[in-house]
Amino acid sequence: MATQTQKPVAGPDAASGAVPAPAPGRTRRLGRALRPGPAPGANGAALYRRWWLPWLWTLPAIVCAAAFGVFPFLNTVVLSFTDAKPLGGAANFVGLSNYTRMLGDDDFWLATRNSLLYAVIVVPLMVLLPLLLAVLVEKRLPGIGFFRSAFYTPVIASSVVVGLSWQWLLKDEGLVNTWLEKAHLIRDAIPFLSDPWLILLSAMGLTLWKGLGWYMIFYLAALGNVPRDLHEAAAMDGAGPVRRFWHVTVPGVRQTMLLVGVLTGIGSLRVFTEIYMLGSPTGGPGGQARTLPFYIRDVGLDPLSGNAGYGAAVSVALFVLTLGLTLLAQRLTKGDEE
Amino acid sequence: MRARRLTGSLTCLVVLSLTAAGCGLSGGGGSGDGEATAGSCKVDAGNVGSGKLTGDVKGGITFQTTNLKKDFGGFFKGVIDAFEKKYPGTSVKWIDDPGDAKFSERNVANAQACDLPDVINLNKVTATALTKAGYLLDLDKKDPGAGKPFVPAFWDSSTLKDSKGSDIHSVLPWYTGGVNLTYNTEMLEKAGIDPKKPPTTIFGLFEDYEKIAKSAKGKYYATMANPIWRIPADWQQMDIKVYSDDGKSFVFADDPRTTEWVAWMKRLYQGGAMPKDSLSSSDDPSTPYSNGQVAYGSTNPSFVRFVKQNSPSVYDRTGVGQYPFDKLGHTSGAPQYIGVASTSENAATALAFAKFLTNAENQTAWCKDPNVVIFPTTTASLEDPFFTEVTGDDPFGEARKVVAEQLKTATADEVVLSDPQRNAIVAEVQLAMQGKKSPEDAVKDAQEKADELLKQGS
Amino acid sequence: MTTSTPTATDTATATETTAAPRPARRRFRWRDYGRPRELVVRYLLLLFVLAITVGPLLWQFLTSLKSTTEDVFGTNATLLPQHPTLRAYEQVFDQVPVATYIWNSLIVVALSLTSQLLFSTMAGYMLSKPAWRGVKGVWLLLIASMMFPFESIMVSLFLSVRDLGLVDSLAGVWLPGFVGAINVLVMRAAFLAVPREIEDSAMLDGAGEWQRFRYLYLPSALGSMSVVAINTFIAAWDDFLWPLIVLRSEENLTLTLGLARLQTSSFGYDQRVVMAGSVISLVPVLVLFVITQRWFYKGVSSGAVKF
Repeated sequence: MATQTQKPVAGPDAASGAVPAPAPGRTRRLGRALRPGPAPGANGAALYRRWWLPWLWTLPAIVCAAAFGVFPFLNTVVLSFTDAKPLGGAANFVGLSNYTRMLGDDDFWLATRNSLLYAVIVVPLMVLLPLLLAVLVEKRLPGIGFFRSAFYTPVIASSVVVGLSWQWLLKDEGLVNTWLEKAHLIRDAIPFLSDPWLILLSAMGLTLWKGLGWYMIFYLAALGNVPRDLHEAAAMDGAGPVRRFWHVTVPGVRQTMLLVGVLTGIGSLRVFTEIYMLGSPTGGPGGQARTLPFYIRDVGLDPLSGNAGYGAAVSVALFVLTLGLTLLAQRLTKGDEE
Repeated sequence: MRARRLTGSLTCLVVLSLTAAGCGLSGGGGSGDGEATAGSCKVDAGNVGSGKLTGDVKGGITFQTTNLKKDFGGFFKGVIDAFEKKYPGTSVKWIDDPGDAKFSERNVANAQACDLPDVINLNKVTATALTKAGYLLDLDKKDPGAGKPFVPAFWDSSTLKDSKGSDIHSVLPWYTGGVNLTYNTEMLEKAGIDPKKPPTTIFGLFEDYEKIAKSAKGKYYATMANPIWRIPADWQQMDIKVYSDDGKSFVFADDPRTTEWVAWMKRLYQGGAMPKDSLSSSDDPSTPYSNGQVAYGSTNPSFVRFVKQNSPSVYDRTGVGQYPFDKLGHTSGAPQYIGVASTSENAATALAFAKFLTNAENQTAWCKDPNVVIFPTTTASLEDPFFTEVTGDDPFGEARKVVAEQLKTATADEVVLSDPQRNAIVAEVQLAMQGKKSPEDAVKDAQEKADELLKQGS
Repeated sequence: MTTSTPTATDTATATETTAAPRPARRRFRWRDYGRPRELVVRYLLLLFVLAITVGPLLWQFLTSLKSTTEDVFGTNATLLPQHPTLRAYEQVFDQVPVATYIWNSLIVVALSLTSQLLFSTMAGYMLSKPAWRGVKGVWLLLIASMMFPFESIMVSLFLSVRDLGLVDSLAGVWLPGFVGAINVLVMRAAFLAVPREIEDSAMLDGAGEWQRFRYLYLPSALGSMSVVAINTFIAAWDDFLWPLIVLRSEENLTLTLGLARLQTSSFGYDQRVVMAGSVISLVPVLVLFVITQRWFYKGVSSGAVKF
């Protein structure tokens, strides 16, 4: 690590003792824990006198995002003003016509609606359910390692296996319908795989199923940071499990919840595989369960009939939509905090 | 304030990219200065334009197949060794693309990077796209005699359109699989259908489906609902014209039989001949056929092998019959093709290898593999007794006989739709089958949507 | 909802991981883990979730153990294999060079793990500090870089990788995602979760920034680092489309690509072998998870720093 240079060690007399420590017991102990390091040194005021330090630390991430994200995407933005073809060759500048075509295309709006709907339904559930699951497996119990690992398998199962399994569950004669019929809850099979709305809902179920384990570990890591004594204090005050969940756990993992919200939001707007698995390859009957990435694939990527320029315009729209919603969500949660 | 900064940077971004767009276009647009190009790639001038291909058969080339290594690794190693021995100083690097599903993405990326393999195994759709963009060698100009070894019906019909819309030969036909009907004889007999006498028209086949539905009483079905593999194959078999003569628009909706076909599909779907849930989720009858849930299996002759491997008990009841020729009078099997990239730096060697691979001797040797039903496309190979006197009366042998029979008249002029075009048409037919649209409207809308895709891509 | 009442054991486990001398191993007693009623409810819930998550996958696994004489599908097919056999697994190894594929995948994984852990920790830490100009901009850049639909930038990416001369190399597979924005954000969230007062008092105690990073932040982010590690592992292990585009030679293929061979052949395939292939690719990740899962739940309260 080249980072050794950065520490502003050993200020002249930073005088830890001189400051009247407000010191609730644990911070004093923390101080002791920190002491094995080099001599006590400079404090926050001297932070980043070397202005380039933060940039140095973030440089690899910036380079990666810029070179392998922003730069190729700028290319896409350029393409969106042309009539380029997926296989290259001469392209003409066509101004905004790709964008005007997009705004007048019913299929584009249908795909946008589906993508938005996906986000609206999936995001809140995906923020909450894995948290509940993490709370359930947080405690060390005999066999808990087995349960944690088992809950994680959907994340790593190959998509072929997942596709087959879910079709097997959701078919008209599949497991779900059979059970519901046996329980006399339904008389005719629920058309999970042939109704566009139900395909969308089933795909959301699939997304949640795959995401549960994935985000569970995010929360597990975060729960480790919720100070245990807060739980103890709350319990002492007579708060039940539900109240403690909302008043101690949730605020404690707030940052992670925001992160999961942003990630699942981005993911939902880009969902493709799940719809493809359940309604392939048209995107449900009549293509009515198509999402934006599905639409991009249909109009932009095909080597024979695709129009890379138009596909790029839709990609730009998807990007703007995603960024806009993320910033909006950011602002909303900020306001909530203050 | 933050909002203002954001708007500011967005404006910057747009201006920047517009400028870049202008630059990029002026840079790329000036290809009229005599330099040879294919797609956006500069190529060796000898590879395009008129005049035979010249150059020594020497140096290294790459050769790409699509997932053949697992089953036929030994065969291809042998062919490559033989070629390198015949032409000292050459070396062939074999790449085997592992995935079918993303095949086109990979080729698009390679083509854009001017880095296509020198010799490529292609299906008709990809070959069509690459030819249109100029990525494949024009064999009519570069090697006028290339078609000689092939069955004339196949060679004459395997032309593709170049960027100007004229028909050229840019690929060599390779092996072909053929089509057939595979069915559960027990279910057919129960419905009063003689498994030995397969129907000769598409609508005749539909009538059989209906009979099965009646006798099955909901316990099993005739076939899968998703119309995706029937479009445009069924229409072509019925001799419905799909494209206009100049290839610039679709005309299938003008034929009343298209609507009739859709109406039949709707009747079959709603009459219980097809599982309701198979409308869009799956077009693959492999699993349900092996399950004994549908009477008709896949039309790929090698499907019989899948049944044998996965459901020994259903295999015993499996029968094979000729695919209905209908009004077309023959099948238009889609052979696999071999193309030579015009971006190749070693085109002479690449072309030599392509011809070596598809020559009679190598085609015969490969197609004799006992585990598959594939047939050669050269005249000499098809005269081999192995293909003229097919023996064996198990379903596997039957499938071979059926395909050998149809290849006597088959052509290679399979109608090509791009995936999105086909999806757009299929989507409308699905709506009709569900009763959400009348067959007339569905066919009309399908043509409109497919036309839009055709226009945006040209 | 199911938050446990803290018990004596909780504290016991917390101490277990510290440098403090381990308490002598006690005899196992159920009541150490909570009240009986609570335990029953917990395990019932765990079993319920288990059925939902693993249930659908079980059938596939059992298929891989079936022998050739058994039906995989249909009314004759049974859930449990009648003559369980590992033949399908042998076939996978016969048909494709699994060891080479696994080795290649591991190289990509090793490269990714190193770069991701190092760089995402560094960037995540700095992004959690609001004290420098440009922090908002970098955050926005990273967030934005996650939003580009991959298919729309794929071709440009490939052109860059070609210009770097990395086509058909494992480095080309690794490079475009050598530090993922998502991991940076995970680390940022972990660092943000460290209570400010702890840092303040550490500062008052005279700890410099490097010390605070090393002895306060890093230990409390161990859990998140293991999350980054497992995420990275899976992303590198499972990726299909990008390696497919970059790699060509047989000797360079990764496991996912190599196993795709088993199921896409148009000449028929054996369902049992396909399933066996899936199981083979799943096992290493699962093993890694079993080993690392105890680390996820590690933070300020149970890391090297305790209070």
